[in-house]
Order: sequence, then C-alpha cells, then structure tokens
Amino acid sequence: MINNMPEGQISEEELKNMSPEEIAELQKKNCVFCKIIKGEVPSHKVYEDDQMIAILDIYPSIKGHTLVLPKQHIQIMPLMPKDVFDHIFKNLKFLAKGVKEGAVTNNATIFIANGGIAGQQSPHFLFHIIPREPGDNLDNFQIPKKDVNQDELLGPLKAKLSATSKARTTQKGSETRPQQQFTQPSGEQLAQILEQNPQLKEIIINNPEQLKQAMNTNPQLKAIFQNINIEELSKQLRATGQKNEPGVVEAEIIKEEETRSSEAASVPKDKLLSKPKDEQKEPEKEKEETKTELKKEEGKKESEETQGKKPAEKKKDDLLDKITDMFT
Amino acid sequence: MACEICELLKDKERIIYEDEIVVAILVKKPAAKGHVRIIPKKHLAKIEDLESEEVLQLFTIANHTAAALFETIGAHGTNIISTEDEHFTLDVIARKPDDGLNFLWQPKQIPQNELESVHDAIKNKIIITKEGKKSEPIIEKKKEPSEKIEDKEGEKNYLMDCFERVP
Repeated sequence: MINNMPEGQISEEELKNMSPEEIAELQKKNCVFCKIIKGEVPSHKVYEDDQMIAILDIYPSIKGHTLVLPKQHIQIMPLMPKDVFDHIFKNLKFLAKGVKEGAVTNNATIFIANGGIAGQQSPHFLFHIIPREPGDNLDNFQIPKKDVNQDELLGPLKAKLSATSKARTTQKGSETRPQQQFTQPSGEQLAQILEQNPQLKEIIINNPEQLKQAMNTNPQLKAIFQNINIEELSKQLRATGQKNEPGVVEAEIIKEEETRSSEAASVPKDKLLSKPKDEQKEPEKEKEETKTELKKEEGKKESEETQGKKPAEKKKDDLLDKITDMFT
Repeated sequence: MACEICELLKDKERIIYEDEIVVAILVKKPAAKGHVRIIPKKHLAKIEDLESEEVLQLFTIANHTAAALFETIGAHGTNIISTEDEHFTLDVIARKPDDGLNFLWQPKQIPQNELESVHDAIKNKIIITKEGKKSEPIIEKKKEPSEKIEDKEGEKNYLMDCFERVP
C-alpha cells in the first residue's frame, strides 16, 4: 500500500538507476516519521529529547495511545545502536507513567512488533504505549494459552541467551562489562556472521548506508567492517541471494536465510523498497556474467576455507557473541 | 494467595535465562511455539515501580530473546507485549504466517477536543527524572499549519497510507 511513491518527484527511470544507498536515502527522505521528527509534518508530540520522540498515534486503539520512536531512522529493533536502545528503555517507565496519568488509567500495555508479520507497519522502528483500564475491550492484547509443547526449545534458547545476554547490576549498569578487543574477522568468519545474523545481512543488502552510520557509534561493528568495502559486499550478497547456483555451498543457505529475513524485516522491503527492488533486477542482469564469475570464485574460496579451517569454532562463538552484543 | 508469576520463577526447569534482575522462562501454555516470558524478580505490578535499569534489562533480554527466536525456530517476526497485572511481565512471541494470532487493534476515532486534552495532559505528565533532578517537560515547537500538507493531494495520500495501521 505504500508502493505509491510521492508522484512527480522521482520517475521510474530514475529509480532504476539508483544505487541501494540512494534508495535507502530516498526511503529515509520519504519516511513520514522522519518528517514528523523534523517538524515538517504536524503531530501531537508528548515528549522529545535529543534521541527520541513520543507522539500520539493518529490511528489509536484508545485515547492516549502513544508511539515512542528513535529520532534516528532505524528500521528494526535489533538494529538500534546500544546508546539509543539504552536511552529509550531506561526512560520508558517515565513515559509509561506519564501516558497513564495523562489518560487517567492505572495500567498500560507496551506493544512492540518486529517484522511485518507481527504488525510492524512502519519502516521507522517504533513501539506503542497503550493506556489500559478494566473493560476497555482491547482483548487483542490478551495473550492466548495453547496446549502446545515447546520444550524442545529449552536447550537451544538457553544456549543462545547465555551467549548473548549478560547480567546487569543495578548499581553500575553496563559499565561493569569488560572492555573487549575487537578484531577483524576473516572472510570465513564474516560469512558465518552473516549467515547467523540474517537481519544484519538484510541491512547490508538493502541499506549499506545504515550500517556505515551504525559503525560510527558501535565499536564492534566498526572493527568488523572497517576494512571491508560495504558496497561491494552488498552487491555480492545481493547477487548470491538472487541466484541459486549449484555447487556453491553458501548459496543455498544464504538463499534460505534471505527468504526468512526478508519476512522478518519485511517492512522496508515489502513497502517502501518493494518498487525500487524490483526495478533493480533489470540493470543487474546486464552485469550478470561478471557477477556469476565473481561469485563462483567467492564460493570456491569460501568452501576451501571452511574445509581447511575447522578449529575456528571457538573464535566464531566469540565473534557471534560480539555481533549479537551489538544488537543490544 | 501466592502470586502466580512468583511461582513460575521457582520452576527452574523452564528457565532459559536468569540474572540478578530478570528471569526468562519458556511458557508452559504458549500462544505459539516460541513464546518466552521475561519476568522481573521483584514482585511489582507497574512498570514505574521498577528501577530504570531494571526496565532496561527486561527489554534488553526481550530483544535478545527475539533475536534468538529468529535464529532458533526461524520466526518471521516477533511481538513483545507487556502485562501489568499483579506482577509485571513481558511476553516475547515468535510469529509465523497463518499462526492464527493477531494482536492488532481496530483504530478508534477520537474527537478532536478529547485528542487535544489528552495530548496536553500526557505532555505535562511525562517528567523524566535523572539523578533526582526533574527535567523540564518539553515545549512543543509551533505547529506547522495543516494546509501545508493538505494542498499537496498526492503527498497527503501517501502520508495517510504510511499511517495505515490495519493491513
């Protein structure tokens, strides 16, 4: 439904010739929430500071329904830089309290949707604070209880969380974390990182500019990507994702990851980006041959590396740890 | 009567993460496969009763859990929903196509005067305190005249589309 770009501004022809960076920039330029933040579009602002704003939802579930969003154009929650994430959620209780008091209710529901399927409908990450009171008929927030056995997830989730999550003490907060040295990963490690983090890959493919911005605030990201040509990586990943080359080990996995992650972050892709994305495929065909070759080489190199370097397992875990860390 | 949520914390077998502040448990009767409940150890009902750092840790672990659900069961999306009952909880639920879940609402029309009054009320009530000091509530910048977007039909429709909540 957001496929209609504002008319008279950019022609389809121009869109075809745009790089992913330019498209990302365009998406940002056309983001209604960015316009609200800049004051170009009127809104009912209830709070604002240097990192976030809170506004009344124009399609509220109930009176006082408030949206909280980072000022930075961030598409999905896991991509929020740590400082922005910490700032918003440290102050959330004050926002929630204000919403309740202002709407004269005792309770509030905080609602977050990650991905189009969960109800995320804006390419600019935001979440909802909804004032609640008994008998408000907002039964949609009632969480169903089903007789589904999910015990098989105990092990895998435990393992993931113990790798990614660190205890926080109330006194010292995040400062208690040891300073880590971040080293640049090898090609193989990078491939693993990308494989394990479909959302990160999605961003590199669709929005390399955002990664570059995130690198400025995030030392882990910087360490990993500082010597990598992100545009080139973006191109390569896109090329690999679009074709199913037999014999290339990575391709299958990447393809699968792609479908999954495109769902996960389907807001930008399905909506604002959907048009440009489709258009992109054409000019790409022209370069098809060179890319196929490039990719073949890549694939070979990758699989050789994987075979030759088994003991990298531990290192990989460290890196995964770091990479998931940066999503905090 | 004992608190149901506090009882859950005792079931060590279902715990997938625990630290000084929060516990994450795999829900016994889930909304869908991939449903984790993040619970503050303190028996408190309201978000504002928790310390800022505790709220942050709850949401940090929820964010990590959401990422873990993407990776372990290939969730296509996740919802995070808070409940302020007797004991504050945060539910993280993996989403997949045709899972039969829908947490979205029907948008309501709020009369303009009520909207303005609740706007003023909330704006005045949000007061962020840091280290005991009260911050100044924001002073809103002058509103742009609404004609500005009204006169561009195309743009307006696009903006309205962006705001569309119900698929």
